[in-house]
Amino acid sequence: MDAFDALMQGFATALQPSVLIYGFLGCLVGTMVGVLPGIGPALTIALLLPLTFKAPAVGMFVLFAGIYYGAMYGGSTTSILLNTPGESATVMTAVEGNQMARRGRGGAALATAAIGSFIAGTIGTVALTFFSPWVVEAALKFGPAEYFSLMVLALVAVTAVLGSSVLRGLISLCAGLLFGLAGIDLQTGQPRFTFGQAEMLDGIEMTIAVVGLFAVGEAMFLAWQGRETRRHELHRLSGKVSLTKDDWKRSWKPWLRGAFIGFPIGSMPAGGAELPTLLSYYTEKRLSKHKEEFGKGAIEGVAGPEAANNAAAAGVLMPLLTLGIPTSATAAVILTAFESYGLRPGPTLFTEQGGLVWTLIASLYIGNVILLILNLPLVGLWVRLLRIPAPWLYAGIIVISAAGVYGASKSAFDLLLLFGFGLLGFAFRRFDFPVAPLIIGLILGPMAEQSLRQALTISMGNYSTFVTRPLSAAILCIAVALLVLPALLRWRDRRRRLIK
Amino acid sequence: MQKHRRSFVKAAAASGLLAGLSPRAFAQGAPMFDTINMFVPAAAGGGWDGTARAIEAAAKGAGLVGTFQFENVGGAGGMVGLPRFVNQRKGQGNALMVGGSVMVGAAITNKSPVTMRDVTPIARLTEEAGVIVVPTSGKVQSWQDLAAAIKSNPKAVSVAGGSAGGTDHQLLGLIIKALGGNPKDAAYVAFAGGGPANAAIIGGQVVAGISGYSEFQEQITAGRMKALAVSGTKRIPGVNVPTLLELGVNVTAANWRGVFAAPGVNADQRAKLEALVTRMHASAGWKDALQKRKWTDVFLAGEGFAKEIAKSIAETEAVLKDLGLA
Amino acid sequence: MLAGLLLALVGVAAWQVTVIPVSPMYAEVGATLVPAVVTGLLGLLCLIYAVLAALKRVPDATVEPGQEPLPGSMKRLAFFAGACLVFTGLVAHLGFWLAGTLGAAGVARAFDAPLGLRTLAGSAAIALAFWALFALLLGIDLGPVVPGLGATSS
Repeated sequence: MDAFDALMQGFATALQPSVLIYGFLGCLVGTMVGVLPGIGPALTIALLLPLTFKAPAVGMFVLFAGIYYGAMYGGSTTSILLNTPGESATVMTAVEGNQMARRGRGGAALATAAIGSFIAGTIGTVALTFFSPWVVEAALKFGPAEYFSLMVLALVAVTAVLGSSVLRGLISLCAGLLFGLAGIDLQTGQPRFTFGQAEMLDGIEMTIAVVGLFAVGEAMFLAWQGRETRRHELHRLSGKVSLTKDDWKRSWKPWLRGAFIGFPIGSMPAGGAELPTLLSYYTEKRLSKHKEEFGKGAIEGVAGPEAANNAAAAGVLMPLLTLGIPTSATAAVILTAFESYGLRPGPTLFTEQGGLVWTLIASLYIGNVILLILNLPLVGLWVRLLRIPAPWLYAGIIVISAAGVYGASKSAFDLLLLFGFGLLGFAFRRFDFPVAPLIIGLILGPMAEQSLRQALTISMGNYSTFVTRPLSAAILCIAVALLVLPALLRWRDRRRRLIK
Repeated sequence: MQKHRRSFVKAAAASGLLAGLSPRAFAQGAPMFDTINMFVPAAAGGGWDGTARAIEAAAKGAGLVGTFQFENVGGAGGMVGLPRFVNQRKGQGNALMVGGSVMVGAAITNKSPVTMRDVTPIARLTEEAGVIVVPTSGKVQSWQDLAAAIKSNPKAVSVAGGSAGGTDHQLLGLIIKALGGNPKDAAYVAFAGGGPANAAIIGGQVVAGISGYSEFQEQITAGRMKALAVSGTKRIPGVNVPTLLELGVNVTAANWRGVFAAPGVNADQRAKLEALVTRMHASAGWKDALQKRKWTDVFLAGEGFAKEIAKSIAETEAVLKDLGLA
Repeated sequence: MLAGLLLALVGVAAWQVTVIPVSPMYAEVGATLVPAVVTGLLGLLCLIYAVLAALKRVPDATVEPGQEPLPGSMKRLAFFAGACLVFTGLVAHLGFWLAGTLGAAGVARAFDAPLGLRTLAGSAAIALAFWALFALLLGIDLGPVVPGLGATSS
């Protein structure tokens, strides 16, 4: 059967009212979960798992798909408006998006994020529909050596977010790398930096660090300043939520580039959604004609990463559906759901349960449309969030953050960790250290270390594995070129000027 | 699973938002227990959680229990949750915890003060044998080749599996020892979760892979991996792969799961819980779950189970010592 | 000032690196190498930073004009931190609602809300609303809303 015909049949099923209602519900819950810091789609789907004993399979998977995509949409909202990303994939959005909001362009930032998410989500879903087998085969070529090289490339890209002082940025990055190493070492089982606490054995929960550093830290900083209650004219938003002609012109290319960075990396077994947002941000900063605006609210810096994280979300589903390999927390939970229906995702799923899979894919298209329709009008509503008086707004943020963390672990230790990171976030802002490199270090550190050691175990300690494997060597070359070329070009320019 | 390593969620069986969708099972007669507090020392959505939910469905379906209250405390192979269960549920006759062989190893490698000896064994329910696979695209395609390669230099045979010191790693250690090598020389490549490990194996990044059979089942059926040996005492029904014993390697290992009661419960409470689990095991709902999820039924209640645990602890300690982890 | 704190952190990290038990297991790169390298790097960077700060080459804290704190900043911070600690300490004993109310009131106070009945009532409303959102609507367990009441059951 042709993929297209099968997809049409999927649409026919997914558009039945009894199935559509699940999709709509999923999108709604997903958006809500995305907006609330601290709880993500993985947790929400896990909580809904018991329902799989009771509800029909088609409805459940359509619901899960809605939650999954919805959370990706919703995550950008608080990042942009309040500088409080709820999870690591939206940290890059906060960097530029909040600056836009502070300059009264929050509406435009939310709009470019929503439309970019829609476009990239659709591109990702199309690719998922028609190109899965090829992309997955290519992604399988990535072994530990390639991942390590990719991390090196990412570390080069970090230079884009180091902020005004390279020294401070690097300190922030190193601190992040150090925090990332805490917990049981995967390769040897040895506890590191745990201070004898059982809670530390699994390392620092990413959500706690992100919410603490941004949400709590930001609130603490504003309380310290004491200006927020008198800010009436400051970072007031214009009610305008639509994009100007210029915004469109500056957004569409980042959307597409973001999608093409996000999708392949998302489909890699250890790719994730954070890496593409960072690489997309770096690309946009490099290519932009408005470099001076970066760090002060450049729309490209919101459009690209937002598109990248949604495309990555579609990418993650590819190895799950075609190979039965979960590559993210959410995918792992969805896999469990498949299992509780007695289904095993993988190559045989398409032939044995074709109807279900194509309905799921069709519902991703539909979910994207529902989310766009749901989110564009919401933009106006979200923007009004900022009119809430400061004491209530920040009291609310702290209560939500604490509820999210406490609800996920019910442990006082995690709350202390959350507020500890809040204090660190405050200190960083107070002393003008950028926070984004710390988060990136926290993500990249463990990935880079583990893939380095996996690669070396495989190569029997031979460091040349990174340059003798063609793919790995190619990635390293790109990284070196990106690091060296700008300097070379500047040097050439200067020489030319001197000669003249 | 990296981002969601630790989570502790007590979920109502149906969240409020979707409560309308869940029809209640009708109880036949009075249930044995009104409420069972089910403690899962792992995040929602994992293997132990799945076992616990299946128990819930079967017990409620058979009208044995009115309601289940779930509590998930994930992290460190159960070592974050176990102490909490021991402290909070001491002497309570309506509390159950799901656990298994992973916990035995985790307690040893983490030098946890609280171990499985501190809870009351009720019954072993399921087990899953390990399987050794190679990518079909790789050079090594038979057990003889793999065994020969390991014998000549274990460091050159990279093997992918779950985290260091876990059941997969232990099995590799046992095999190397049985083949006359030093388990410390294992070129074990630990991956976080089954997904990345699967990808590394079928991508041909490593020579071989070790994990539970269900972890690789799909790839084996699809012909991307070739199963060389299984670690159970018998072949897996319907799977034409020899056991290690048949291949002349004196190694058996299986990843078992069971249920435990709180410490300090009296004999009556213990007997009642054992009766509950025994009746749950006999129910149609449980048989259905076993079949659907392809779990191997190794039901063993009471003293027999307690003896098995003691044996399991001693064996695991020995392996981990050989690996240099205990 | 921060430089000093950072150096202290590096000290703690260095001590922890030496505490990592060395496994006799075969591994080309052991568990200690990367932590040691990162700690060393961070130590070096912090040292440079400390020296530059001491020489006044880099201001320890930069404040944009018009962004300097208004008087009473320490008092506001104290309320904020107090709110966080009170919540952490009490949530397991008083339930989410009461602890959340105290926490929210403390944060609101840190943003110059007067300490009065109105603030308390508002905080109580916020805490209850979010408890309802998380516990009832999303099914996430936050413990009882007040001790002994409202535990979710299936």
